[in-house]
Amino acid sequence: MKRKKQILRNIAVILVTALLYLWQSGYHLTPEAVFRSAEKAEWLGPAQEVMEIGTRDDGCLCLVALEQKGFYVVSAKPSLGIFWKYTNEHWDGYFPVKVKTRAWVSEDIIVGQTRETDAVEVVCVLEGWNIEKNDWQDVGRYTIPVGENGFFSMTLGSDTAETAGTIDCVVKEVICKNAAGEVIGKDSQ
Amino acid sequence: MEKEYFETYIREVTSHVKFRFDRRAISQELREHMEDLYEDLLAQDIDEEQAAQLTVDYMGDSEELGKELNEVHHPLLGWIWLVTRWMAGLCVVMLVLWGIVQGIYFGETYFRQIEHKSENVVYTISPVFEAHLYGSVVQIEEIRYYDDGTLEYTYTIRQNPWLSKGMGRGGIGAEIYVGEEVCYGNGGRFASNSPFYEKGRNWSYDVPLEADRIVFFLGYEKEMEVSLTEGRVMAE
Repeated sequence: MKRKKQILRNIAVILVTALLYLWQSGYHLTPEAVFRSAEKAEWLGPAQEVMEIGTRDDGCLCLVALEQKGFYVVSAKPSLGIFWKYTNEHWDGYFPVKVKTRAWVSEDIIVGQTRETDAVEVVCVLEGWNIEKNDWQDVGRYTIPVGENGFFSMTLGSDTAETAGTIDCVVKEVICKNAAGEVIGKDSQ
Repeated sequence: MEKEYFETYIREVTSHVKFRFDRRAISQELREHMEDLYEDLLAQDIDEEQAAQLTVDYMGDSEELGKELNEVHHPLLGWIWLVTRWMAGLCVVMLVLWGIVQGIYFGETYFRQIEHKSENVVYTISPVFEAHLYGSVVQIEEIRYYDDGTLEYTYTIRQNPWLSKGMGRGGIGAEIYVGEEVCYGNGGRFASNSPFYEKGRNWSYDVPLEADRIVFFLGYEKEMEVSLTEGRVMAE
């Protein structure tokens, strides 16, 4: 009996240590918990809604939440089967939207926000640097629906730039359209 | 002579206990018990050899006792107990070391005295403000203006201890204004960091005495504006 009690006590000590290690190493049970931790660390939020916008090629889940003057992107990496971990392996962080509409290519995901209240979709024109021509070259035009909060995103293939023959891929222009398909705003970058 | 009796009996008993890590402790317990019995018998004027024989007889059949002890000291339970004991011991050592390291870092920062410039102070403003952010509490403790045109502020950041390792902002920034003009100039910063607590001092050179406000940047979106004309305590 005494031995059984000692086993329980020993297991409790081991569990406490394991939990402390997991906490200190940034393991969380849900991707949202990873986002909340990153949010606290960056003195942002708490955001009312955390949105999943896509999965990167390496399995990292991309999450976003809107702030007052922009939005914040975090990648959560699946780890040890049941955990999620913060990773800075991707181009994430705070994206300030200082104009009415702005978009970025965050590696293989287009992310952006518009404050055009009537916008229902945006057309993102992407371009990349063609090393052979030594000039910018159009990579593609992508039509993306706009959410009620003005946020929009689209997952691209990681080989988008390569397929187009460029070394990278950036947003050249964002065209906002209303429900009738009329252009109501543009942002050239 | 009695020792040989006892040791033979003890060896026979413990040979039935499969969890060999417990054999030594069982042997010791049996030995003490048998010696007590033996002393009692000697006190009753029984001669040594007979007392030793009676002691072994009182203890009962060695095989039966050995099997009973083997049940109590079950090898599976024994191994679990032994392995968890080693692991828990290692964990306790790690926890204590972790606590000591964190404590040293924290104490070093918490008790560190922030040294100020040696120039003459023109005015001070304190306390400035305390901002409660989602994950931290930022306190601007004091603003000092020196007669050589240096303006400095001291701050502390208490960080949420539940933040993951490697995360968390370090330091704060500020812009000093004269009317609508920003005072651009050189400066410096000193900070002492621990995982949950930071203390620091930032300063800017060539700030005119007429500078009327300072805007602190707390993260990406939060700004705190503080008047440099109100609450001044002029040095004597």
